[in-house]
Amino acid sequence: MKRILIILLLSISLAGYSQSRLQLNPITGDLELSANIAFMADTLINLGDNSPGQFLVNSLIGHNNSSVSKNSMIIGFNCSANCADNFVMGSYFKCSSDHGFAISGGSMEVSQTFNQHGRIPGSVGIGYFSQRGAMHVHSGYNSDDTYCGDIGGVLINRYWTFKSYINRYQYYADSALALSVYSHNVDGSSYMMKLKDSEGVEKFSINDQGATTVAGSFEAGSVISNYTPMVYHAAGDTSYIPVPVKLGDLYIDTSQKDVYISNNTARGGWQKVNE
Amino acid sequence: MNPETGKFDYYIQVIPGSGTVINFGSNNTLSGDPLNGVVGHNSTVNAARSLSIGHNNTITQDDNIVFGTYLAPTVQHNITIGRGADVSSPMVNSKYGTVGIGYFATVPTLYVHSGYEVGETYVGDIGGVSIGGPDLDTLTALQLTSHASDGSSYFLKMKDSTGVEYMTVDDLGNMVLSGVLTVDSLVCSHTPTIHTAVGDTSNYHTPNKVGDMFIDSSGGGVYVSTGTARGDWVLLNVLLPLVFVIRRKRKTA
Repeated sequence: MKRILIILLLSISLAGYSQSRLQLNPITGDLELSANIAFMADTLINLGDNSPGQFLVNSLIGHNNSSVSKNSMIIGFNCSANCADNFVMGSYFKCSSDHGFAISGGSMEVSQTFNQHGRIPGSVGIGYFSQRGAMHVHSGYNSDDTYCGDIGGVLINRYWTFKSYINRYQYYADSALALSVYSHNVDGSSYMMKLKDSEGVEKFSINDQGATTVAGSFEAGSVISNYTPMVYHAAGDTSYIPVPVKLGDLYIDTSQKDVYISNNTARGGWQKVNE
Repeated sequence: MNPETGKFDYYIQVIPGSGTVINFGSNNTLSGDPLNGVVGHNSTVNAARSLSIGHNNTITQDDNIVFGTYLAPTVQHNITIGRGADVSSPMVNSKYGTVGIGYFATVPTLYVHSGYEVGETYVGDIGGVSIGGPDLDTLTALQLTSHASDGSSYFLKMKDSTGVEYMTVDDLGNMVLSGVLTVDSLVCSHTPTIHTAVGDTSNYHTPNKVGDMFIDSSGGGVYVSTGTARGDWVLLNVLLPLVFVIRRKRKTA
C-alpha cells in the first residue's frame, strides 16, 4: 500500500504544477516521497531536500539548494540561484547575475558563500574552491553585459572592472579575444603559460612580466627590438637609402655587394664595413 | 520500462537509516552517507555530499559530483564531466579540487584547478588550467602538454577565422610566427645583440657573446665581438682622424 502511495504521489508530481521530494518521516524514521505543490508556478522539479521558489521552470536536484529565479536549475548541494536563467552544477555556489552557467565546487569547511561576485553573464564559469571561475567560456566577447552568439572566447583567471551601475566589481573577458590569460602575479614569480612535452620537459614559457622562453627554434616574419639588428636590402642603391631606423641595423646593397651598419639614425647614417 | 505494461514506471529505492538520499534509476548502490544521490543506472555512490548523474559511475570519495558515464574520481572535492573508455577503464580524476573534463579517456583532458598549488592546498579565487598533462605547476595560469615529443604534434596553434595559421608551437618547442614579433630584447646565442654607447672608445663593454655588435654612437665606430672577454671587439669600419680629414679638405680646396 505504501509503495502504491509513493508511486501515485510521484506520478502526480510528473503531471506538472508540483514538486516531489524524498524526506525523512520524523515519526516512522523512514524516507518517504512526498509532493510539494507550487501553486501558480509552472512545472518544477525538486529531487532532494531543497527550497524551491515559485518561479517558472526552475529545478533542483540535490540537497540544501534554493532557487527563487525562473528558468534556472541546480544540480548539486548547498547552492543558491537567485538570478534568472542560471544553470549550476556543483556545490556552495551563489549567483549574482543572470544568464550564467556555473560548474563550481566548494567546501563546507572553507565557506558556504563562494562565487557571490564576479559572475560573467553569458559564460560558462568553471572552477573549484574559488570565488570566481578559474576559467570562463564566453559566448561572444563583448566586455559588457551583452554577448554575441556564435563565436566567443576563453578567459583564464581574472580581469575585473568596477561596474558603477551595479556598484560591484565584475569580471569580464577582453573584447575580441579568443583566448585571454591572466597571470597570478606581476613580479616575475608566476607564469601565464607553460608548454611541456609528454615527459614534462619545459619547451615554452611566458612569465607574468612577458618574458618568453622558447626552447626550440624561432621563426618570425620580422623581429622588432631595439637590441636586435634589422636587415634592409636593395639593389644598386648608393644613396644610403633607407634612413636607418635604429643603431646597429644592417643595410645590404645587393647590387654592389656592400654591407653597411648604421651608427646614426639620420639619413646617411650608414657605415660601410666591407673593404 | 515495465515489461508487462509497456509503460515507464518509476523505480525507487529507499535506504532506511541513512540521511536524505536520491536514487532515481536502476541497479544503483548508495551508502548511508548523508546527502548523496544518484540519477541514472548502474552507479555506486559510497560517499557523503556526492552526486552521480549518468551511468556506470563510481564515487568512493566525499564531495564529488560526476556527470557522464564510466567516471571514477579517486580523491575528494572533484567535479568530473565526460566519459571513460569503458566500464573496466573509467575516467579517473585524481586531482584534488579540480573540475576535470574529457571523453573516451582514462584521465580528463582538461583540468580547471582551484588555486595553483600541487596537492591538496589551494589558493583562493584564482587558479589555472592544465590541458593534457599531469599536475599544474605552481603559479601557472595555463599549462599545455604535448601529445608526442618528436615534432609531430603541436602544443598550440593560432589561426585566423579563415583557418590560416599565424602562430604555432610544436612539441619540440619550435615556434613559428608569421607576423611581427615586437620584443624588448631577444636573447638568443644565434642572434646578435646590439649594444650602444656615446663617446666610448675603450671597447667598453664586455661582449655577452660572440657576434654581438657595439655601436659607438659618438665616434661612429661599428664593432663586432670575436670573444667574450673585455676588449674582444673588432672595429669593422675605418675611422679617419679628424685632423686628417680637415687637412685633406684644405688640400682639396
